[in-house]
Amino acid sequence: MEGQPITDNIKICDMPENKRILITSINGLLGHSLFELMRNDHVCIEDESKQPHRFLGTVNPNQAAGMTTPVPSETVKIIETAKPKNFVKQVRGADYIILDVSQFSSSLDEANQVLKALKYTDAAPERDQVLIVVTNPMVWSKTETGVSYDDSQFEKRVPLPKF
Amino acid sequence: MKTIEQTAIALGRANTKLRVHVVCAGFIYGNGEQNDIFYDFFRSAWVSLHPDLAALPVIGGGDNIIPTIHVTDLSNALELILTSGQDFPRYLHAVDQN
Repeated sequence: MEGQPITDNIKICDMPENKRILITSINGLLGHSLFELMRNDHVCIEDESKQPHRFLGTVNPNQAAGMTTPVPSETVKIIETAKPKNFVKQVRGADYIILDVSQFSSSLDEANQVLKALKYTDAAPERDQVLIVVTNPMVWSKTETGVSYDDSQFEKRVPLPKF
Repeated sequence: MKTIEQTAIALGRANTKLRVHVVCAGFIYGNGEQNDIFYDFFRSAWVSLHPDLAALPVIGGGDNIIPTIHVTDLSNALELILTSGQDFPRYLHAVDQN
């Protein structure tokens, strides 16, 4: 079977070029998967005038399954909450923000800092942004059972006290 | 975690330049089980030659369903929400259907 030449204009991901994408806990399972799905380094190989997506991320230092997973690539710019001014600047400069709090080891303080940066209490928002918060089913743990809910009835969810 | 969800949704209502979606994902698995959700279950299955260690735990009556999702499916769903331009609801569930 004849394979496709690698120089063909194959889009790995159909996003417009050159977006700034912030993924929290980028060294986690979801962070790795998202990075591999969205990276488009090939565009600058085919055409030097094009810029690939720029990835920003935060690192979750907590261990999963007995090991700390590394960041998926050295090209990812790591931002830290310990430098609040830069953190706010980078969050506000991102086009797409994926806030992963689905893992039990995710930092909720860090998530709160991202949301605080997006409140824009001290400046007007300059660009259109998309924020996706990924949570887990524990926020529905104490919801009444035996009743069917759809997405629009999310206000009825009752979490466990810890969540 | 619920507070974070509520805050994010409120942010989306207050800021017209910010589109917000909350995705309640099932427990994530896949790609070599980097997280520890199913680690103990798989380990018990792998040592199945030993009659004692092979016993998998049954919680309750055994008819409960744990919501799960493969990490690649979740990534694809998130990418669709980011880029498709479709009018997705603010709150979504992402779970395996099988």
